[in-house]
Amino acid sequence: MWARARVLNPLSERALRLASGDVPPEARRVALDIVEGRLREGATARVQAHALHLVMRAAKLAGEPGIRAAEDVLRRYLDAALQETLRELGWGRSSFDSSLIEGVLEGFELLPLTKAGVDTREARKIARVTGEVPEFAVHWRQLMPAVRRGRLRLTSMFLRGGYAVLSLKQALECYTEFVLEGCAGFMRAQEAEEGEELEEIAERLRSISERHAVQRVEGRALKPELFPPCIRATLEGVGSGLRNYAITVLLTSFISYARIAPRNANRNARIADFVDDIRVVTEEILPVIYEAAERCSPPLFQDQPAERMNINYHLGFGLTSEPRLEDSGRSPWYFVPNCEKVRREAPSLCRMDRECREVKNPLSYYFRKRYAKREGEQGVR
Amino acid sequence: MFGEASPEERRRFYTEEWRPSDVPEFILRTLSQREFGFDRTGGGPSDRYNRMASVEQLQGVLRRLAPYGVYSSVSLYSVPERREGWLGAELVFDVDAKDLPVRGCSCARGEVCGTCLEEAKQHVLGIAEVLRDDFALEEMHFVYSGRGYHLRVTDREVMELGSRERAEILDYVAAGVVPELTELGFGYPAHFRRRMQLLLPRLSEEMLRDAKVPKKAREVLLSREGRERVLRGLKGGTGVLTEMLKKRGAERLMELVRRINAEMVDAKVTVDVKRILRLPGSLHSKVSMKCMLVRKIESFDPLSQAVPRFVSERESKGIYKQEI
Repeated sequence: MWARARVLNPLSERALRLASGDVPPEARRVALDIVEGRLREGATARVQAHALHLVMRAAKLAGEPGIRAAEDVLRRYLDAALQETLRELGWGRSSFDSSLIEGVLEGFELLPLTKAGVDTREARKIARVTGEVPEFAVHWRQLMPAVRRGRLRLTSMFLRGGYAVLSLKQALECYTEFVLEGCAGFMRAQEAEEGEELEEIAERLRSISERHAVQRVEGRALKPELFPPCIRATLEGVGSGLRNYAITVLLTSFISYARIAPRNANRNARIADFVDDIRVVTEEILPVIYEAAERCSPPLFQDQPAERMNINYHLGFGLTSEPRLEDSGRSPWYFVPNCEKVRREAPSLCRMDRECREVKNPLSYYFRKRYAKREGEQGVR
Repeated sequence: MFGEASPEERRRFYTEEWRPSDVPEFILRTLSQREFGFDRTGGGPSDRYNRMASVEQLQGVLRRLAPYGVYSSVSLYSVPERREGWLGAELVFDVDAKDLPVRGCSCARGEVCGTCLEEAKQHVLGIAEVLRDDFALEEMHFVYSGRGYHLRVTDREVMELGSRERAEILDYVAAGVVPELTELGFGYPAHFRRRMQLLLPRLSEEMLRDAKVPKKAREVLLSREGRERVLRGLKGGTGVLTEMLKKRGAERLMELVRRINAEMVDAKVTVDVKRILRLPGSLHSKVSMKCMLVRKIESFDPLSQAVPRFVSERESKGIYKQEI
């Protein structure tokens, strides 16, 4: 009964069927409850399906921030709905039969552990090592939504014969990402539509988005006039033999560390440890690097488009064309090379001025000058 | 290797030796959906955005141009001549013998010999084993690239993967991440340990020192008895590492192994779904060797099976043989 009463995946065949036809009057109220994080008891499956689709349609109306807010809302809804479902199935009681969950996760195929060729002895060993009891097998393709969304690494899974071994908790996490990825794609692909019933929900989503708007980091805006000569030369664009080193190695590390100014960063530092908003990278750091790359002769990305991914790699996001905070740490965040190394690798970039003699790293040059400037300004005041 | 092919040798290769049947079936069946690129003179494949409607058309182009290099996309497109309408891409692993970070020969960087080519082959075989055992992938094609090997996977499950998932699979098969849990006898932790067992005997003192492995741990790893104990212990987990090398030694060693593993495969080739790769069946003109599909990889010897006829003739005439 429970499985029929609750809609977990708004895009399952059942939910799509339920959400077709006229929107019932109470669906708007339920949709607003979902947006506010309340699970209304007693709503029929049809009303829930309509409500979830209202949320998704309203998100499109609210634009990209609305879609991101709707993803948060749907995640909260799904978490709560899954918990409720588990409770109804007797989770926590000795009689709980986890195999019942297999029929609940619509569109997601959970299989018995034996499918992965894992026997009881091995299952016990996994449980001992990981602290989580493996209960299901899923085809590795079903892990991909969680992988794409940066929530799971294949290297932390146990794969055999094409199947991954999952505990109940992991299975629910993978299911959540599977549903949310589908919903996000659905929302983005839809045509935006107007409507009074949608406007109020869209407005709530907008306000959630604003509430969630992450504060910018403490790091300060870049002051190019204080950059050392090697960086100024790189920003002007360099010739073909030097481009990769100057742009991908030197400038990428310099601009990122200068902008973020991580305090007490060690060699394992990740950008995500110091920045809460990826826009610091995509809107402040990368444009500076890209513009310098464009000024190179020939423009760096013209003949080496993959160098964009390499820049992200040097920022610690791994080889990717779309840096995301959750990927931070997939590769090292390369530190700015010392002056000695710059002189060795790119002698023509090193045009020492008086301040250069007092530092061993281009970043120190910048921070010293910035500090001196600030002190000077305070003195004048 | 055999030095650079002259324009005349290239022309002879494509008119006298090359056959349409040299193009593997997995490419033939999708030929018209692939972008073709030609390197006409040795400066790189700048002639791109080409579509070949049939293998006969390709044959005509090859005979006419006798190009320095021929490439085709790993992706399939509905409009390959504009690289539009992406339909999917093979999952590719590129192991180049000249770029192997650890080699059992004395080749200088950039050079290759029979020994390191064999090592590249063994590495590709290891990757294929993980793809088969852990991911249950079956349609795997081994291609000798001229200086290493391409492993091209065409299973339906991989064709629509994006760059991000490909990078994740690469990390897994290349053992490019230090596992969190290392005691299990299967899956990724066991795979990482196997890679470690293969690499340990090859690590030099210099490499261990550069990786900042502490002196006492280095002594254990470089002594025959210590190394064998570590290797034996690794069969059951990595507990032996902390026991014999202490925590810091174990961590630094695993990080070194991870880094070497990650460098064994050219990651850019795997994650880039717009890539063009040397066409199997074509000539690698820089080294005068055939890039070719390898059917029996275990017994494949590139130095006898991937040598074009003109090289043998060149040698029989005593013209030259040159190491690259």
